[in-house]
Parts: sequence; structure tokens; C-alpha cells
Amino acid sequence: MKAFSFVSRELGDQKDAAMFDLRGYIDAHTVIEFERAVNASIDGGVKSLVLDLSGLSYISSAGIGAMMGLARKLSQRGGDLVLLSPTQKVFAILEGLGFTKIFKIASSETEALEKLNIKVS
Amino acid sequence: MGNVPDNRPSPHFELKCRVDSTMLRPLREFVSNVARTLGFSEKQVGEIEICVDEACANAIEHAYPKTFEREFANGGRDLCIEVQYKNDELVVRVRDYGCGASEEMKSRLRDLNDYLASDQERYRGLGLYLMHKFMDRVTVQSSPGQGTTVEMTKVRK
Repeated sequence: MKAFSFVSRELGDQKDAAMFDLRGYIDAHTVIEFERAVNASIDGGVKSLVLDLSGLSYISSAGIGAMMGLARKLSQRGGDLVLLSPTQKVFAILEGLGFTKIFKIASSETEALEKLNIKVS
Repeated sequence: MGNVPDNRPSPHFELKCRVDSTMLRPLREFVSNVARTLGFSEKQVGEIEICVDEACANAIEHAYPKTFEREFANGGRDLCIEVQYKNDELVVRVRDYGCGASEEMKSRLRDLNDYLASDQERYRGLGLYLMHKFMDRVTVQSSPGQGTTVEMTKVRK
């Protein structure tokens, strides 16, 4: 398994919203790669992001911190961040630390789009 | 009936490696596998895994600054993990031989609200909070030039 990889795509008809399908794990070693990917997207004009965590096997505080920073950055640009379908293991860590009350979390892409107020035709 | 002596084996492992962030994954997975084999639940294994990762990541980031060899001529940039199990308790010690932590650093236990209020691009400093949240006992021993040992205990439930 590769340490960290991702696939990104536009969300619906929105040019300023994107979905990142994350694979592997985010720890203090791979967090830089994650930040580089999402920051490039934001620099390209994306304001709202959905991070699909269904393929993410592990996250450390470095990854949680990077997602917190990302949520704040998107909010400052008038956008938002939604975490989609975290694995049971990742959800347990987020919940144990109190972050399920802080992050917007969706269990389906439709729900994620609703949380971003994005309508798909 | 008298007390029956506990003759079950008490596993004791020790790993030593150079500090390098690529070692985080094999180190946390090693301890996780030990915990899993000893019958800890998957939830507990996940909690142990992230705490080991945080302690190791802290050592990798802070123990050996660029000026370390000039300031402390006591050897290499090593990281040691010791895992012991006895009487339903898993004890993990993460030890570095680096520059040591100040009293302020040792006692730093971020409150989640302080963390959330911090004005940073990347939120940091959650490690000790996380260890105290997920482990049953956490102690930090450290002194300048003598390195740091983080001892974490998890009781099997």
C-alpha cells in the first residue's frame, strides 16, 4: 500500500468545489503531501471541499491539525469543508477527541453536497 | 484456596531505530500488533496506535535539533520503544536520547478549547492531550541533554 495518495474531481457543475478521495494514511510523515494537494486546489480557486475518508486507514494529530487548518482557510474564503464516510477506526479517533462535533461529517455524497448547499442537476 | 501464582509469560519487547518520520508507520504497527495479539479490543488498539505515533512523532520533531551534536556530544539520534505486558496492563515507553524537554514542555497539556482557539495555519500541539485522553496513565521524564522518556499505560478491558 502506498503511504498516501489521492484522486480529485470537481463536484457537480461547481468550479469552486472539489472532492478529494484520500487513500493510505496521514501521519507526520505524509501530512505534507496532503497539505500540498489541497493547497494547490485552493490556490486554483476551490472554496469548498469534500474529503472522502473511506479509503483512509489511519490519521494522526498531524492530519487532524491539517484538516482543521484547511477548514479555517476555506471558511475565510466563504467556503466549507465536509468529511465523507470516515472508516470506523478514523471516526473512533475523531469522536474520542471531540472532533466529530467540530467537523462537518457526511455519510453519503448527497449528504455532503447538502451540507455545502450544492445542488446537482 | 491460596493465591495461585501467575505464571503466564510477560511479553517484553524493545526496538531501537534512528529518528526518521518514515519509521512512524512500522513502529505504531508493531505496538498495535502486540496489543491485538494480547487481546486488546480494536478500539483500544486504535487508541494505543495513535498515542505511540504521537510520542514518536514528538521525539522525531523535537529531540534532536540541528545543533544537537554541537550542544550534546552523547551519541546518535536514536529512538527506542519498549513494550511490556503484565496483569492486563500494556506499558509502552518511548525514549529518545536527545536534548530533553523543559518543565513547561513536560507539563504542557493543551485543553481542546485552547487548541481550537490557536491562531495557526496548521493546528499543532495535540499530542499530550491525546495521550492523556486515550491512555490510562502517562508520565514524562526528561532533563536537558539526557533525553525524554514517555511512559504510557493502557489497561485491557
